[in-house]
Amino acid sequence: MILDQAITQSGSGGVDEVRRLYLTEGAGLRQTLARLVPELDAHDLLHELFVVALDKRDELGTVQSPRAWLYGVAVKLAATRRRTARLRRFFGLEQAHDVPAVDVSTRTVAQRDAQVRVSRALESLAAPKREVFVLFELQGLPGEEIAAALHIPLKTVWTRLFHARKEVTAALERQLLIEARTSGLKRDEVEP
Amino acid sequence: MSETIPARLVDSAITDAEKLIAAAATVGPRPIRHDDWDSVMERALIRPPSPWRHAIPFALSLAVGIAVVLVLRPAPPPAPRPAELVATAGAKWTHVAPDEVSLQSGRLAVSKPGEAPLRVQTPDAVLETMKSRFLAEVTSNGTTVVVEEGEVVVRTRSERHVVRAGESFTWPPPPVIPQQLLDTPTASGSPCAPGAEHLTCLSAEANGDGLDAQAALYELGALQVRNGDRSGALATWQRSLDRFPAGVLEPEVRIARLVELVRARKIADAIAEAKAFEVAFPGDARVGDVQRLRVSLER
Repeated sequence: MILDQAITQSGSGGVDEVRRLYLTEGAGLRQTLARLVPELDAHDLLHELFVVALDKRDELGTVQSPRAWLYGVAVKLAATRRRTARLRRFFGLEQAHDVPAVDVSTRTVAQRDAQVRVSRALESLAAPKREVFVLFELQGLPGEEIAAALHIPLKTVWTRLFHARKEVTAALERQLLIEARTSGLKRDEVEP
Repeated sequence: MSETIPARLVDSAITDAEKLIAAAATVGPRPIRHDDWDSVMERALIRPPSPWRHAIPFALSLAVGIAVVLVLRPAPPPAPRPAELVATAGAKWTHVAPDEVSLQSGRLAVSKPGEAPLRVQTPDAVLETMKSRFLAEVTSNGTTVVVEEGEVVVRTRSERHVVRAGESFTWPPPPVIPQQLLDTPTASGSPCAPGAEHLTCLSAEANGDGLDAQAALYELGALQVRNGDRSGALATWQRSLDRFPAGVLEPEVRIARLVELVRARKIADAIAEAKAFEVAFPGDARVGDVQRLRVSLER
């Protein structure tokens, strides 16, 4: 609370609103970040996202959909950090870190396996399509919010989603087929 | 693409792949801990300083450094002043390079000494100088250098000579004519007495015939040499050789011509004359001197 007061005193109001958004949207945002950049610390990214939100709380207070705004910043942050991570890896500066659990503790083994497969299929996807796919299919954001978050027309959202679905399902089919061949089973015998 | 809003696969999965996507989508997020918000606030307060915070001081330091270097750097030495050259009318000369001049003929003087080295190429030698005033002249006789101030180094194929202020130097040096060739006899028995009409008398006599005419032509050439008319003398003696190809005075005429050709620096003609003498009069007592002179000319 002391920290809240310090921030509040140093700028205009809106900290409470940011805090409220953190508590209501933080979980979903963290999971989104983990799905966009699984190799990075989603918890750390979430904190960074809300530091940005605190910095820009005046702007956040004026947008039509604060949730869309937060998801938009999350996507940009993920893209930036992904590029930085690649650069760090190229120069051998990558540091090992713990990947925190971002999913509900009650998930089943089947769900976990499905997540792993989908995550692997998403790796081959171009960033714009991956972002739309994650936000719509996995996070359940409506198309309008995705369009607002990514600053693209709604039709573009659907177009990207159409192509993303085709590519992801094709990648998953490939995975299942490979699994069947390596285990000596028929394709139909492999449980999704 | 249809205008209808697509349904999520979680609600409409049919294939195995779609079912996998649906299964992954049904995994909900782990709830956020409320005390995590304090971490966000703490991080917001002690945000790591921007890496660009050093950009302005760095740029300023760089600008100051450049300014200091520009101010304190040693000024480049001024370009050395070239020498001022003055050529006489008709002189053939060109600038080969900023510090090199080629003088083919005529006179070229350095009126104002320059600070940069200067090379003057002539057909006979190369003159090298710096901070000196001198006159270079190229004629058919060779290259002459007269130094007024400083010194000039004359480089030839075989030697190097330093010419100092007040000295002059000519290259190539005039060939040494053996004394025996200079001791030319005077024709005796000429009816023309020395005096004011001597030249006229000899000219008239030369138009005659026989030995008197030969003697008169030889005498006339010698008189013309004494009077400073070398080309006239050479022409007179050539006329003698043409009119009396095997005349009694042919050896004397040829030697007299050879000597004057050498003095006139007509080296090629002199060599030809010497060879003609050696062929025509191999038993002459002076043939050895003629041969030595020719060899020295041919070097």
